[in-house]
Amino acid sequence: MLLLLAPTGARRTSRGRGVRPYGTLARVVQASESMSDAPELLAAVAAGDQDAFARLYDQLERPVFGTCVGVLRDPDHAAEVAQEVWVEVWRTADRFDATRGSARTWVVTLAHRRAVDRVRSVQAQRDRDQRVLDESGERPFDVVADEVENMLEQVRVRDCLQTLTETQHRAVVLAYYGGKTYREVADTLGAALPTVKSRIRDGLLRLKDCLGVAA
Amino acid sequence: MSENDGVRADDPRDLLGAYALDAVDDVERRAVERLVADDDEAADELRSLQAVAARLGESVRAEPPAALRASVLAAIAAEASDGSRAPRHAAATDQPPAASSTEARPTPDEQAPHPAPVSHRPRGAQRWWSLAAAVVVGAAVPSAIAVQQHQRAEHATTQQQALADVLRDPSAVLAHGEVQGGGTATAVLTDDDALFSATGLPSLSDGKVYQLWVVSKDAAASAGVLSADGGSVRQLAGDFASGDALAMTVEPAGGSEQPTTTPLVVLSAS
Repeated sequence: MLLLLAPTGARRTSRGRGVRPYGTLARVVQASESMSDAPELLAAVAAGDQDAFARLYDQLERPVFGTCVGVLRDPDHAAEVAQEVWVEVWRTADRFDATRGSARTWVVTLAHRRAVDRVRSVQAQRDRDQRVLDESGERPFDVVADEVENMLEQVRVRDCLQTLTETQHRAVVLAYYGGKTYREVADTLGAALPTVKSRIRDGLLRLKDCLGVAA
Repeated sequence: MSENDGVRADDPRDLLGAYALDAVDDVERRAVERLVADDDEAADELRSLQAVAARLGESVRAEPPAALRASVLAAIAAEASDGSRAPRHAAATDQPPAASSTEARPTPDEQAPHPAPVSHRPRGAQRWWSLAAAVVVGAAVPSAIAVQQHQRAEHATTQQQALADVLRDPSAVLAHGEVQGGGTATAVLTDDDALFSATGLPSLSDGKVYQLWVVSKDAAASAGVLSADGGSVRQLAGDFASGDALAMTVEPAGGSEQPTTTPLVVLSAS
């Protein structure tokens, strides 16, 4: 799985337009919401400013693509959804409401939702086409967790996930990275629905404390 | 609250966490959006839960493809210039603020990037990306399913890489044709590889299979028996050269050394 990501990415950047400078430093800067002018850029984008859009793209390209890869795993597929996400950002930028959260969260949330939509529509199609494979279609928690947690570049996020209880951890990972609904998570884990709902919420709140996320 | 659940008429407040992970269905999503539209406390909680969820996504390590930026900017330039889109026009819809992204549905047609002045790439490369976008819909999605559902990691890696190579090839040409008896076929032909896909194929009687051939001037070489997946097939033909054609025939199970029936479709670059 990981093999699939790294070499492909490396190859791509070595061809085409040339490598843009995305070093460690750029990542640190990107991670800092307070330094971002994303809210202003989104406002300019809402007014039709293409230069602002390009700057916003450069700031949030990695979080958006990373989110898509986290859910879809396949980089080509993720690129396709990322493109849809950015067009949607362009079209709906005026719906961003700074009182409801940061610009970065708004864009990343949009990316996650589109990636999950894609997973579900592909699954639905697959279910229609090929019920035979259903028995092998389950993605056990361990597989999802192994795939995804190895891709996390922020050690802190990985460490914080480890601080959750087992059920919280499983529920959050299966829902976020597995694209499962909480009902499907409950099925997979053999847990009651109210339990899963509360484990997801409690798990996120615990992650929030661990990561020191300011809303 | 009963542990024995199955009914969905619960307090939407309990769904805030699941909503933040997009782990709810459409009905539940709307219930949560109604809740946060007029309950500040719930809206506050959702805001922090979504901020945490976003951290889960943005910490995934992945290098965006270099072509994506040009493609996105070209799509936006095209939207801006045709004037049909306007963010302001979106404002007219009554959209609950927290629901920011729900209603907007991407329309794939409009996302096909057009060659546009913002491109830093030569025109040929732009056209390549359009082609890739068109084909990936049919080709990469089944791969992604294979990857996700069956963990055939190595196979998938090879397939993905081969697919990516074909799509990146500047000599790539798209060929399209109707399949006799039903279905349509599309191929990306390059100077040394060809990617074939067909959909809507009728299912064959027992003992019959679809087989793909690379046809050069006076010889046909098998490019493999095609495993039909709900009427769809996809195959990468590695031994393809400029000027060759792809042909699909129906053969006895197991395939033939040489075609034994008339091709149902032939695709070539010219």
